[in-house]
Amino acid sequence: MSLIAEKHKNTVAEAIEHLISRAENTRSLTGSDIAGRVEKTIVKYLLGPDPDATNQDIRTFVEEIRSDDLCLIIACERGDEQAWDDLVTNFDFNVKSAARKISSNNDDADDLASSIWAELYGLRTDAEGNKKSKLAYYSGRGSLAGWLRAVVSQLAIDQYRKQAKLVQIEEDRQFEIVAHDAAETKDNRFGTTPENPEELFTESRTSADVSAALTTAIAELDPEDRLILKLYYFDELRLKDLAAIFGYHEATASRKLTRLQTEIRKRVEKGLRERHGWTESEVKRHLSETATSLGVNLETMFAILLIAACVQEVWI
Amino acid sequence: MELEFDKEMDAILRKAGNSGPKSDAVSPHVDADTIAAFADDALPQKAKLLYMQHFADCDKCRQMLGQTILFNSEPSETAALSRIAAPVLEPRAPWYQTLVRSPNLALTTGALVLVFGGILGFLLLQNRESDTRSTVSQITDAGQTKGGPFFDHETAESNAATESPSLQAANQATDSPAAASALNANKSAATAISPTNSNALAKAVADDCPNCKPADTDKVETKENRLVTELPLSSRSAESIAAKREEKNITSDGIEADRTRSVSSNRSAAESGLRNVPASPKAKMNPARGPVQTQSNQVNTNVFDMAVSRKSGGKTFVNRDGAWYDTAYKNQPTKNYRRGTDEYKKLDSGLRKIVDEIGGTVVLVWKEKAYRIQ
Repeated sequence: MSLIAEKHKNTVAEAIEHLISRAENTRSLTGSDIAGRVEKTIVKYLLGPDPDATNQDIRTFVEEIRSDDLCLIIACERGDEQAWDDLVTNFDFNVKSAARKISSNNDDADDLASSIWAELYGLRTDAEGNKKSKLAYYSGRGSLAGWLRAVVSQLAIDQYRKQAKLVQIEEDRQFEIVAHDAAETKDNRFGTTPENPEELFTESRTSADVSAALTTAIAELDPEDRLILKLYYFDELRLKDLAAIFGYHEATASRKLTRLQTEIRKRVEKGLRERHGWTESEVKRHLSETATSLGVNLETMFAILLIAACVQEVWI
Repeated sequence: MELEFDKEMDAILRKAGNSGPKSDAVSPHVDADTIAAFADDALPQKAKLLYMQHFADCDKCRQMLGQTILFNSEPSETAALSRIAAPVLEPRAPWYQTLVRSPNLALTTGALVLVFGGILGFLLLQNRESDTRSTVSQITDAGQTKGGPFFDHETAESNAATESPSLQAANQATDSPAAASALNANKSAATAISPTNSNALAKAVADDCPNCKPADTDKVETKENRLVTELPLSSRSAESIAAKREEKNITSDGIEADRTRSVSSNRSAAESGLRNVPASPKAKMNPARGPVQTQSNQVNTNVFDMAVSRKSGGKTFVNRDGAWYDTAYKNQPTKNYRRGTDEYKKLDSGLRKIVDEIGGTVVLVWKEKAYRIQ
């Protein structure tokens, strides 16, 4: 049963035929072999978000699908051995490279890469005995290499979360205990005795209030601004990468970020004054202190622990 | 207008990234195909906006997107090398991921936690012991051997103002055997001080102290002679000493007993709630600290012991005369404020928070200044 409305069927059929004709290696596939996949993609990314899309939008959309990658994947789904050989030969490096970046050692990276290929091959079967493979989810809109890296990333995160739930990893528990103690009782200061209880009280309140005001300020941003901010500061992406995914120049990304910093500052200052009762002088003084706070904080503490662990390994 | 890069906010946001709360979007997580298409900027505008909203709110999907983008930004030359030989790339996990995966971290962390805990516990014990030790040292000070090598004449003279001579003698008589033997050991030295020598000594003292009245020298002389006259102390009968004890009702904690009696005799003047209050434990432990405690001090100590105290912002407040007093307050002049006034609102928010938590009239010391808030 077609997912496309009657008014668009002809346009879709023509676009699919054109897609096949563009492919360098169709791998013996015809328009009808790939029609189901293309229609799903059109509904998912075009007609779903924008029901008023025109026929021209549909043509443009199908035109941007990567035909060779799509044919390769669909051929692999159909059990084409040559297609599988080509897939592994051309893209095993991408999978292993991504796996090595995520894993802590080569053994884990190889295990992860093997798991990826097993998932792609579809070693699991559904109730009807059909192979369940992640290949069925590739639409051809993004590059095949990028899709494989996303699969590696997704599987790695799922595996890590499963391990974290099933096994109480002692290192993490110790980390949580120490981090909790440091955050709750000593405000990220470990092993120091506050000389002035007023300063300690002020510092803990300051950090909590700034954190709350910052969270609120970020939540009030537009989705694009919020995503840019989080990708840059929380995921440590470069300006160049941000510019690439949002479709503008690196200088534009830099200006956007600077504007966001100013915006966030205004919102944070306003929030601290209005919701947390800070005075103007307190806002200026404590924001500056929060940004440049010294002392033995948690990151420095664990850097020291890491050095100690490395030294211990060397001795042993 | 060109905006300047805000270094302060940049530092604050970086810190927030490391410690901020995690969030998951309400909508279902996106699949790898959507992540890849978004990373390649290969989605139509409306779909892009839709998924942008999800990525902005869902940490898990956003992290996968971020990782995919980082993988994608690898130089393309490395792909060409894959046909020849797959180079073994060093894992480039961030330092904090390396940290939590280190197998020896547990041992190191545990050992450091134990060490720091031990040090803190030791310091706490030391502080407690030094408190009790200072008390013990004060009690033993009264028992210093007269004429001994470490005997402080000046202190002995000032204490003589509060102690009767017989009390001094009785205390000496009840000194430990070591003290008694020390006293005896000085017999020879003391008997060597003849009246002639003592006069010479008195003259020497007078030379050193031109303003001293003859009575002072007499005192000195008397003191010297005291050594001679009191030397035979040990020879005094225990009965006479006991008789002295009974007379003055002096025990080894004689000073304490006197004080306790003075408190009990003044109970009628104290508030009714204090009638049957036993002596303060603090008073028992520090009987001789500083000048003799006056009755009013003793009463007030008992009041403090019974008063309700509250804590807020690292400060301790005790209730007195219907107001809450910061224990750091030492009767210095205060600046008075009323809640709700403009001047009050200009005060530090930390101070106002403490005052609000305590409630009522609060007298506190904030940044070395005293405030009274009503």
